Amino acid sequence: MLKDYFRNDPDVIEVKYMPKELALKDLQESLGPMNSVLAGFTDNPLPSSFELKLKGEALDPARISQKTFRLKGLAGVDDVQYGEKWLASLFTMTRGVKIVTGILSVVIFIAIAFVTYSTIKILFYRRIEEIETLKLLGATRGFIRLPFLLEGTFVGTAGGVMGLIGLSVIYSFTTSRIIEFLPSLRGMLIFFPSSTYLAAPLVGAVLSLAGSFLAIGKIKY
Amino acid sequence: MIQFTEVSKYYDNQAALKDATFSVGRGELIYVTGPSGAGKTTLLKLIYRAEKPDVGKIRVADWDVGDLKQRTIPYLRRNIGVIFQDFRLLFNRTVFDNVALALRIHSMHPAEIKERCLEVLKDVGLKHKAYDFPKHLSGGEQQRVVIARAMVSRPTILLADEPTGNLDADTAIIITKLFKEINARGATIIIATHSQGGHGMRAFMYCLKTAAKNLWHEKWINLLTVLSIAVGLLILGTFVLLTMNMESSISRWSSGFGLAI
Repeated sequence: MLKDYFRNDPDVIEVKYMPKELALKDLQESLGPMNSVLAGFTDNPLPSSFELKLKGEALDPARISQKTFRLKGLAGVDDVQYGEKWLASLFTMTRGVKIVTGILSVVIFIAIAFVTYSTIKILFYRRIEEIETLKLLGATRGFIRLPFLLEGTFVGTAGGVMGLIGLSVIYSFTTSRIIEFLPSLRGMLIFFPSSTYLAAPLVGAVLSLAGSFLAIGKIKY
Repeated sequence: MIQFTEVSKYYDNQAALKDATFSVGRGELIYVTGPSGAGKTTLLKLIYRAEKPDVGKIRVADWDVGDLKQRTIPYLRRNIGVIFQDFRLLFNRTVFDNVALALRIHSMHPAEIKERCLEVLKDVGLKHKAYDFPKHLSGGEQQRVVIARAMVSRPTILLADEPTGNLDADTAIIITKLFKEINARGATIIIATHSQGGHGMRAFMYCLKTAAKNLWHEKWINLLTVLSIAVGLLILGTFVLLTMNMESSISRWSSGFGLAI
C-alpha cells in the first residue's frame, strides 16, 4: 500500500523496498571483519525501509521538508531520514556558486569583447595611413573592415581553444589529486560533454567579433 | 565630364576656393596653375570627394558629388585615378603590391592583376623594379609608381597633384610625356601644378590573406589578446564545471532518501 502511494507521487522517480533482513545482511557485509559488533544483538535492530529517488526539481530544501512532514504522518512510517543539514548546505553552496558563475560570465564576456576592442583599435590606428590610402583608391568599407573583423575572430577562436585546452589540463591534474585523497569520488567528477567543446571557441569568436566590430566603427570618407 | 557651378570651400572661415565655375570635357588635358595655397589641392579633393563643397554643385560624370552618400563614395573614386602630392605609397609592400592594391579592391582575378600591373609598370619604365620596396627607389621612381597605381585601373579621369614638383627636369619631362600618352588613350586629365606646364570572393580571399599577414606581423599584441581571452574563459569554465559537479552531487544525493517503516 505504501509502495503504491510512493509510486503515484509525481516527485518520485524510483522506489526500492529494503526488508530488515536484507538491510542487516548489507550492514554485515559493509562492516566486513568488524561485523562482530553486531553479535551483541539477539534481534535484528534495523527496520524495514523504502529508499526513494526524487526528481532533481524536488530537491529544494523547503519542498523536501514539507514532503518529509507529510510522509511522517503516513500510517506505518516511523521515521524519515535524508541528511537534511548536508543537503541544505550543499544546496545553498550550489546556489551561491551559480550566482557567482552568472555574474562572472557577464564580467568575463564584457572583458573579452573589451580586450579585442582595444587590440583592434590599436591595430586600426597603427594602420591608419594604409587605411586612408585604401579609402582614396576607392576601397569600400567592407574591404577595409574585413581584415580587422577576421583578425578579431581568429584571436577570439584561438583564445577559446586555448582556454578549453588549459581547462582540461587543469581538470585532469586536479581530479587526479582529489581522487588520490578521496578514492570514493572516482568516476563521480564530471567534465563538459564532448558535444559542448565547440562552445568555448564559438563564444570567443562571437565576442571578439563584436569587440572588433565596435572598434572599427563607422569608416568615414 | 567634370562641372563646377559656383563652388566654394572654406576652412575656418577662410576661403580655399570661392565661386569656382568651370567645366572639363571628356578626353581633355587641363593644367590648374597658381601659387601655393591657391586652392589647387582643394579643387582636386573636391572632385574625388575627399572634401565636400560648402556652396555650389559639382558633377563628375553622372555623379552629383556634393550629395553622394558615404557608401557610394568608393564607387566614384574607382573611376578616378589620383596621383597624390605626398605619394601615399605603402612602404611595407613591394612596388607590385602597391600598384595591385588599386585592382584588388575591384575584386579582379589575380592573373589579370599580375598582367595589368606588369604592363603598366613597363609603361612607366619600372618593370624591372616590380618586386623592390619603395624605400629603395628614388623620388622620381616613387612618383612613377604612384602614376602606375593611378593608371592601372584604367580610370576615365586622372587627377595629378604637383606630379613633377619634386623631380629633376629630365624626369619631369618623362612624366609629362607619360600624361600625354594616357590622355591620348582617352582619359580626362587634370594636373595641378605651380609651374606652367573597379567579385566578392576574390576580395574576401585578399582580406583573409591580409588578416593572416597582419596576425603574424602584430603577433605579440595578438598573442597577448589570445592569452587574455583564454584565461577569462578558463576561469569561467572552472566555475561552470564546479556548478555542474555540485548539481550532479545533489541529484546523486536523492537516492539516499530513506523511510523507516
